[in-house]
Amino acid sequence: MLRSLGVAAVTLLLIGAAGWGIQAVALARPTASQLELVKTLQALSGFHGSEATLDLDGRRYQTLCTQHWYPGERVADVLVGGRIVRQVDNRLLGRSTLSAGEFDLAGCPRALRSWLAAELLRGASIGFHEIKAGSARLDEIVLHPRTLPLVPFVAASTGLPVRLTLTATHLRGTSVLHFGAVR
Amino acid sequence: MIAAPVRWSVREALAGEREILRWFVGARLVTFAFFAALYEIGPIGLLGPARYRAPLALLGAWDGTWYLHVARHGYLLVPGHQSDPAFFPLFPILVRGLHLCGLPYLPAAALIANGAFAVDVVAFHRLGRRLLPDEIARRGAVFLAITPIGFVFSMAYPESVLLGLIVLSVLAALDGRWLGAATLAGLAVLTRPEGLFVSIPLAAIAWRGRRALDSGTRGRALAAILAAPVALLAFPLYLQWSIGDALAWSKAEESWGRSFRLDGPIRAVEHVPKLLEAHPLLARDLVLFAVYAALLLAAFRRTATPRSWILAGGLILVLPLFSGTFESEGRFGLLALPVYWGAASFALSPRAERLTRTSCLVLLAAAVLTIPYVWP
Repeated sequence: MLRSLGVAAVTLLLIGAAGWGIQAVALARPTASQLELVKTLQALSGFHGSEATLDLDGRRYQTLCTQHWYPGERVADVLVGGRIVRQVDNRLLGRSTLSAGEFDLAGCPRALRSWLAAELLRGASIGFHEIKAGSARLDEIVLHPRTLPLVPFVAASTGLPVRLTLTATHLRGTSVLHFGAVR
Repeated sequence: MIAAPVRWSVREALAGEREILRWFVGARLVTFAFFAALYEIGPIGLLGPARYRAPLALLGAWDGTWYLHVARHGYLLVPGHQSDPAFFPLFPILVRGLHLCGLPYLPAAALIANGAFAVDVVAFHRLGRRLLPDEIARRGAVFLAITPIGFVFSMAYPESVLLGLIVLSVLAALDGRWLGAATLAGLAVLTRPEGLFVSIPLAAIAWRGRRALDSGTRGRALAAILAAPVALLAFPLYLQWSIGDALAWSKAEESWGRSFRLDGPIRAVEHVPKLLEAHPLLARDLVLFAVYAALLLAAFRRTATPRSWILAGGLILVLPLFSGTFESEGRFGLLALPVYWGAASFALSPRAERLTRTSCLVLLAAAVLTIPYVWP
């Protein structure tokens, strides 16, 4: 009986170890930067809105993004200068270059998450470059190639985006983001 | 019923399998011809132009994309999005291995899937002969070769590899090669979670022969029975090591709209009207679930299929319902092997048999044509 159990235990140990080992040897592991970006996505998933201060096209705006569900549709509204820029299911309504820039820089959590997740899943190369901003330490997320002319900067402590830079050909701007108030 | 061990040699195998291999080749020709037709038609349905950039590209559609993604990049759980830890590792590992030998990923996947399926039909015939009368074993293997959802066995999907591992594991156990059975059972569960159920026929075989086993062999038999559950643990342990999240599989499943709960079958039934409203062609999965269940019952009532196989087949059919949906039941049910013996249990005249088999090929062709519109 004991011999049977011993043989079974040793065999099972070998099978379990081989099962783990074959995966460890054969499959690629994500890079540290990819895992960092996953942390940012995780941090963003706790929020349903954002506030931002935008410097865009030589003007300064305050924006408020709120996300909600309509039956069957995901909606994100950005209130900017008394207007609303609306995105429905990843489509921006009444799209103009300026409103697209306003929406991108407003830092709506779901839109940011969708974009960054898509970059991850399509295998874009990802780098985190440390920069100093006063006493805080930020990481610039460098994506190559990227599908949006947007550069996010995340707080090293929380992984949350705190700043965005827009580098479109005809429109440049930056924003400072706050996620704390709108959960 | 355990018959004498069957010797394996290529010549002998081919001599006894001509009819089965003929239907296997015929069904694969139909499958590839209709994939080629879809390629010629060009982008239709839900699949974008990327799926039509090469004649083989459609073989990598739907879940195939994700298996190839794992082969290329490994695992990464993307919170709140569909991501690849929902897909088990062995098939992508094999694809990556063949890719390292110089083949592009998709042709490597198609080669593995189709090669494995050729082995499957022969091995399934062998298994049937060990358990059931020759006639049922032979006709069952032909039905496996021509089953309408069997186009999946030609795509970048792991079902053909899993089916082969299950059958070969049980054949090894029937021959008393318990270490082989244990290894194959471990590999099976790393291919798809349904591999877990190979433990049931293995346990039945070990129980029946327990008095003839010495202590060492008993230990190996016990290991074979437990190999699948133990190897299953290797996947979350790997995910913990690789991406820091042992629960990544179940989290990823949730992003695919599947969460395993006790009330899953009730949710699955309640979900049917919404499912059909959004994707009417998924009625196919409901119909196939009913057909598989009926054929499983036929195997139970009309053949000497061991109860352990019926139980394993039933669990393979029912378990996905606990995730709350009937989606893909047509594909999952392909692995409920007694279904083919159930189909073979109905004696038919030669003419009716030919008509039935031809109808299966017609349905196979039609099923291929649904690929742009609905996932298998």
